Amino acid sequence: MTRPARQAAEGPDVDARGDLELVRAARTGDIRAFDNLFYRYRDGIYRVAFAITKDTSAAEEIVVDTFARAHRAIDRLEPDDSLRPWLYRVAVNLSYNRRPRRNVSFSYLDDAPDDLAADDESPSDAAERAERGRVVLECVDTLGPKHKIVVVLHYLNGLNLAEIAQIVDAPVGTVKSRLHYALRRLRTHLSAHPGLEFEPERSESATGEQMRTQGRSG
Amino acid sequence: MMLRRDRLSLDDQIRLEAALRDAFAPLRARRAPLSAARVRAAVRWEAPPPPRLGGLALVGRLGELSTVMAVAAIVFAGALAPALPTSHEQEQELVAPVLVPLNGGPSLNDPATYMRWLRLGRSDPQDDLLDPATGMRRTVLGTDGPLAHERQGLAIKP
Repeated sequence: MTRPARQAAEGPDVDARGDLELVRAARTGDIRAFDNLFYRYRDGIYRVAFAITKDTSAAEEIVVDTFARAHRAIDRLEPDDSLRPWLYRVAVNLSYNRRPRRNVSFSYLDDAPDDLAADDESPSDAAERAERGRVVLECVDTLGPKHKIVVVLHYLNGLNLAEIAQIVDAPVGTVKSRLHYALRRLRTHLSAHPGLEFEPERSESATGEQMRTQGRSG
Repeated sequence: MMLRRDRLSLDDQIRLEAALRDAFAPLRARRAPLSAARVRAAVRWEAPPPPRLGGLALVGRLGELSTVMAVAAIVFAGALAPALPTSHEQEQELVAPVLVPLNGGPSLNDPATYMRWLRLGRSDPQDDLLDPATGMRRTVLGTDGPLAHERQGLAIKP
């Protein structure tokens, strides 16, 4: 993922220096450098924590706790490429330690900012889009934790497979397999909703039968 | 041609990814209502790690321990002191030097006699009237008289 895309996913960047320089400066006691690291990754960590816990206050506490741990471990941190996965790994572990409340799913319509509707979008289109999003997120909630975290990190936070592999401590191939499995599960779930225009999954036997029918007709 | 079961068609994959990105768009627009000051406060308020016990701290700790033991010993000895047997001298000190005139002696109704009895511990120079059980010895009161060289004074030269 390119740096601008990362910034779009993470939030506004307030410092042009890289993670390596900021971590080095923070090690010398430069609190502003640490603050810049905080503002660089604050929103992304908050979103992951919120996606797992579904609790805004818990997500805020997780963000604070994550950076407090980073502050304690600033001398042991390996900056640059591994800082972001390290922060996310801490946040994910802290989030899973806080079990979400029961019967709570991704809030969508209630918590959606008002300015998300496009200017040229009619209210009915916006409502339809919101309903599609709600259905998709409900399907994501049906996934298991291993598959769900991969989907969240990839599609919500924009992390690539290598970074996700570092976060979940698994090989890249495993992450790719989990993501693919999650997409297949989602497709199966979403095909039950006619408004989403996903065709029912074609099984192997059905496909063979269809080909045999086509062969007879041909 | 057979389609593998674990394969997604490219069209489905594109639509799924688009649906997921659209669904996560509101969450992606979320901003954490937090400032760095909160992290600073959390870091400052965390309990400091227990200090390592160095040589200087060990000496200090031993000093504190010895002081505590000394104070405890003093308190313990002080608590047991009244129960210990006292020596003869201590018993003598505990005797109140009360001089009570016997019957027939000068009356204490006279203020001069009373003050003499109160200040000097005797009501009359002739202390043979005193009760020997409570009276003070003459040596204490200094009634032995001056020594020989004191009586002779400074006029006598060797």
